[in-house]
Amino acid sequence: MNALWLPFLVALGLPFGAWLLLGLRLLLVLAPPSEALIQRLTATVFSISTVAFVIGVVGLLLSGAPLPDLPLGALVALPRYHIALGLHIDGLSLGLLGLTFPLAGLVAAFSARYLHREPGFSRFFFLLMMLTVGLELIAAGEGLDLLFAGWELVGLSSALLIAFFHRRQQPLDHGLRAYATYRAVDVALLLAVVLSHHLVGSVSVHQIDAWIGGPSGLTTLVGVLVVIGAMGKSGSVPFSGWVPRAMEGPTPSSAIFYGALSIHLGPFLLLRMWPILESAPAARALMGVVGLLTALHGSMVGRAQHDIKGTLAYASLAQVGLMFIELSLGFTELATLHLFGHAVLRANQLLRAPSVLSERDELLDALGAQRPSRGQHIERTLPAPLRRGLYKLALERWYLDDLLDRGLVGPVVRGLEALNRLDQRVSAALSGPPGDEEAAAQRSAPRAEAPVRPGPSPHAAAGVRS
Amino acid sequence: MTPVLLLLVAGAATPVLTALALVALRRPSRLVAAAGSGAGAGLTALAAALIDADVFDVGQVISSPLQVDAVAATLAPALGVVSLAALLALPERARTLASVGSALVLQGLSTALLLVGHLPLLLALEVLKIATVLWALRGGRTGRIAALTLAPSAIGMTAVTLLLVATDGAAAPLSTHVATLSEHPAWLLLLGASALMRLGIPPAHGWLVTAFEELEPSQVLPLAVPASALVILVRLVEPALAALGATAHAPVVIGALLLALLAQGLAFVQTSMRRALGFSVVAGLCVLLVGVVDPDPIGRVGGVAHWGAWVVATGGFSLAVGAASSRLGTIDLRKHHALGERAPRLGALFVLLGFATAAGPGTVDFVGADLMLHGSLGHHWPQMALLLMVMGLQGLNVLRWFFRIFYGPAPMFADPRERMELLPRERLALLMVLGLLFVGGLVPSALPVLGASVEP
Repeated sequence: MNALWLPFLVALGLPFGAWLLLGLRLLLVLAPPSEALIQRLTATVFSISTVAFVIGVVGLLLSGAPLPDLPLGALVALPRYHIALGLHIDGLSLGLLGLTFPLAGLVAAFSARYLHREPGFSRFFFLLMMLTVGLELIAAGEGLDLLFAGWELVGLSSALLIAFFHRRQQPLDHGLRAYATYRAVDVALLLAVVLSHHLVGSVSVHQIDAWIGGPSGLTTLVGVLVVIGAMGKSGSVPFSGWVPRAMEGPTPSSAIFYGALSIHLGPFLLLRMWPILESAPAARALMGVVGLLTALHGSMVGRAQHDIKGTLAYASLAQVGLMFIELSLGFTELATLHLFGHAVLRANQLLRAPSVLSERDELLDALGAQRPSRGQHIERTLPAPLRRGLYKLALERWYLDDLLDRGLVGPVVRGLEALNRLDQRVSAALSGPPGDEEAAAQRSAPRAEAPVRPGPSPHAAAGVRS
Repeated sequence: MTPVLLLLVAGAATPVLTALALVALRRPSRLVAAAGSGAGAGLTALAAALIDADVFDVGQVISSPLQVDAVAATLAPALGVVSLAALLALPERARTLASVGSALVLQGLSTALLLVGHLPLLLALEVLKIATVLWALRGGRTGRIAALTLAPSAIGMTAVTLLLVATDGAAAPLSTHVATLSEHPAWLLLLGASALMRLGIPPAHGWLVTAFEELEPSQVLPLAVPASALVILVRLVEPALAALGATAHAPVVIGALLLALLAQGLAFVQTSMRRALGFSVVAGLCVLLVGVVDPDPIGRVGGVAHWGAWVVATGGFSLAVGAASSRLGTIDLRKHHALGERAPRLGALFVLLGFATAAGPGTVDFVGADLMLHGSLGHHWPQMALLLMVMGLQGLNVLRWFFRIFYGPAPMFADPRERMELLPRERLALLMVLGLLFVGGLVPSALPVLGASVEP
């Protein structure tokens, strides 16, 4: 093993270990760990990871040579196929990891106070660690299989954090909507991963980087699927509906997910798969169109938002749309710089969002007068009827959610419900006379025996023997 | 008989003998039942560990009429663990001599089915299993629907067996019967259809869904989840289809995937958690079909690995659903139940086991599914897309169910201080299953089918 890997292994391994430890602790021990313990653990982990990462980067820069991949064995090794495990670090990985460790650490420190005495404190940090591990797999996984595993972890932690305040209905609905979007587009991503194997001969990131091919049907198909996969995570049109809804989650998670890291995974994926996309003009054209629509959508809808987090969410969308356009035109370095710069800016803005009203009040106090009116240049140039129409369009978020719900989801669900009723009628016909249904219903109804209500101790339940 | 075979036969016989002992004692002792089931599982696991991966291959017959191969070695321990977990998690009110005894007998029969390489014996065991299932479901709606489905299935399988025995002789090896089946497509169709009816593939799924609705999941598991009828498909139908040519598999695969997607969609719109679980299991059975009939060796290895992983994951998840419904009664998915505050650990296990059924990363099914996708499915992207949609929808269903059962506004009059956490035996059952799924995910090459050489 190349010695330059050591600091990176420490940086990557610590969050993974902490995640496992926290998970096992929550699963096996009934009482959740104390806030102080979690704070100390996360502070230690992220501090050491960040320092180790910096040491690793300095070591790489001094060596002047690319870091060879680190094989970690094979998950499965069959004669004609194997699933290899390994780590790969290049410039793109360093950028994402360089954002992940310090931002996750900052968000952890912020959250320790923001969520103090909040129910679910330990759950939040478990999910934050899960996000970090997912991002590590995406950034440093040697194969697309590992990238996809990380992608799934990020998606699941995102949905669970949106539904963090689970005593209300709305966060749950929004978390589910976000997850449904992820699952739908992840079909495209996983298809792309498998088809890449046929195209490149491997799912290794290293081999994709080195791939030189020309346009072909398969290249176009893989390219288009990758773009669709990227669109979902980045909330591009028409999959943008979940992004403002995601603001239901705690502000620190909004900052790290939808400001800094998760929302930029789309462009990251496009950069990672660039050698294939470069040879797929149709996919790049799709990227450009999607980017343009997303930028317009984000700008327009953001102007009609009435809360700061919603405004920032749409601002992020607009910027991600611009990154798509930059990539479609082949400006990969510009897109990379844009990505990382925007991540830092937006994370800062989202973390400060809860204080925006008090900051505004302080500003007004300092000015001693109302702030001069700014912006709205575009709105002032438009005729009033058009302005009203566009405002309504923006308020309704371009009716994308309605189109999806009424045009696709609704009819499918109604069809399935009709089929379900038919199935129940057939079962009822096969199962015999109606009187038997009553007896069966009695068997399936809540029992006279009380459910387990152990009181102070799980073993003290009346009538329930272990 | 080799030591491995001896261990496997002992692993199949021990649960049956335990059932007989319980009948003699006239007591449905959970401890004795768990000991018998656990011993069976342990013996089969020991046998699997002793298997020389270089020697045993998928489909290889070792010592007729018994055989051991990677399929048997992978599935037998998985069945044993799920059976043990089901017995541990069986609610008190459902712990009767009939339910405990039938679970043990079915564990033994399912294991024995994996070891048999002789057609009449294979059929006899399957018919005996069907009879046990019908006896366990006797009376009520489920029994009637099951009789209408499983009886014709048994008749169909018996008819084909008699025809094959008449043509090839009673002592002929399975390979001879495979060749005869490929020469008689009508017999092959009848056998395949009978096996599919036995499995519960739509439209023959009614008894399975109703069983989940009426009975405890831990009672239904031994009846349905081992999917032992797949053995008939693996040993006889698939090789015969292969002899007919690669295109013969395509209609089966596409049909199974479409049915799986439909079943997942039906699971999505259910208002009863038990029915939803039933449809989820039906969808899983359809996907199993896709894996085991794959003409590509990599895909077939993945299919068998997925079969073993699915048995364990679905078993565990069903038990988690059972634990939740024993605390809440009938779970109406149109409203929230907020069980998470009163049983947080159950909630965590529910979601972990649920995602294991959707080939979540880190679980052994992630590996199985990956291999399936790189089999012949990998050359047909529409079929791949269908499989991924089924798995995606399963993940979405699991999260939706989790939110409905464990999150949401607390029901009126529910006391959030009330503890409804898992009992020690329930915790043991679920953690055992979860541990197996994740350890298998980290070291999948320990699975015999993934350690065995792939057929050329």
